[in-house]
Amino acid sequence: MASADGKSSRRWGLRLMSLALLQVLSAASEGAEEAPDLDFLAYLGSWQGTDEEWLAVARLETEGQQGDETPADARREADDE
Amino acid sequence: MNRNFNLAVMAAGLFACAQLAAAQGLPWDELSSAQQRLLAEHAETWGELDPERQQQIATGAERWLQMSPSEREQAMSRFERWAALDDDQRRAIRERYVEYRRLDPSARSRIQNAYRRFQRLPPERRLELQRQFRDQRREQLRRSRER
Repeated sequence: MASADGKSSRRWGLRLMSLALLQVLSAASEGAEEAPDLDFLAYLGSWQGTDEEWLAVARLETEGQQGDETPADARREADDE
Repeated sequence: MNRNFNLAVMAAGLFACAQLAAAQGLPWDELSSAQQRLLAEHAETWGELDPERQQQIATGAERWLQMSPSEREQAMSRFERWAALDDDQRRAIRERYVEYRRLDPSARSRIQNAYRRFQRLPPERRLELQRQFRDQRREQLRRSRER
């Protein structure tokens, strides 16, 4: 009888331990977001606005080289379009 | 006069504090818990990073955490394009970007909208517009030199 009680409590103990382990693993996987490269994060944080804006500026830069266009000129161009 | 002087002193004090804070960097403890989780593997070496880089990484981490999966994918693709540029190209774009940020928000928005419209055009139309743009600029330059 005592032995049966012991087995049962061991089984419960194992079940509780498994549950606790599952909880720890699940919490760890929720918290562990895939970390991007530091250079990428620094790039992302180096712009005053969104990192998308430099593409429009780059377009002005490459085309502006033909005639020293500035963003102020581009503003006029954007107004015309 | 006195009031202006006091304001100037206060502004100088604030500026000095901001400079000092930037020079001292961003302590790990001041990152949000979400930023700390994202940057967990760099916790030990965080203090060795340049203060400006710390600030950029922290801002970048915050932006990354706010992005949707598709925004993240687009940002990574833009980073690949950025990384493919040479130093001179990056420097030139940064310089133009500073000028661009000095424009008022509506002007910036018009430039971005024009760029988006341009991006949506078929490639041959884009090339045609670029050619026209270059020709116009050459013509404008020629006329301004003649004057």
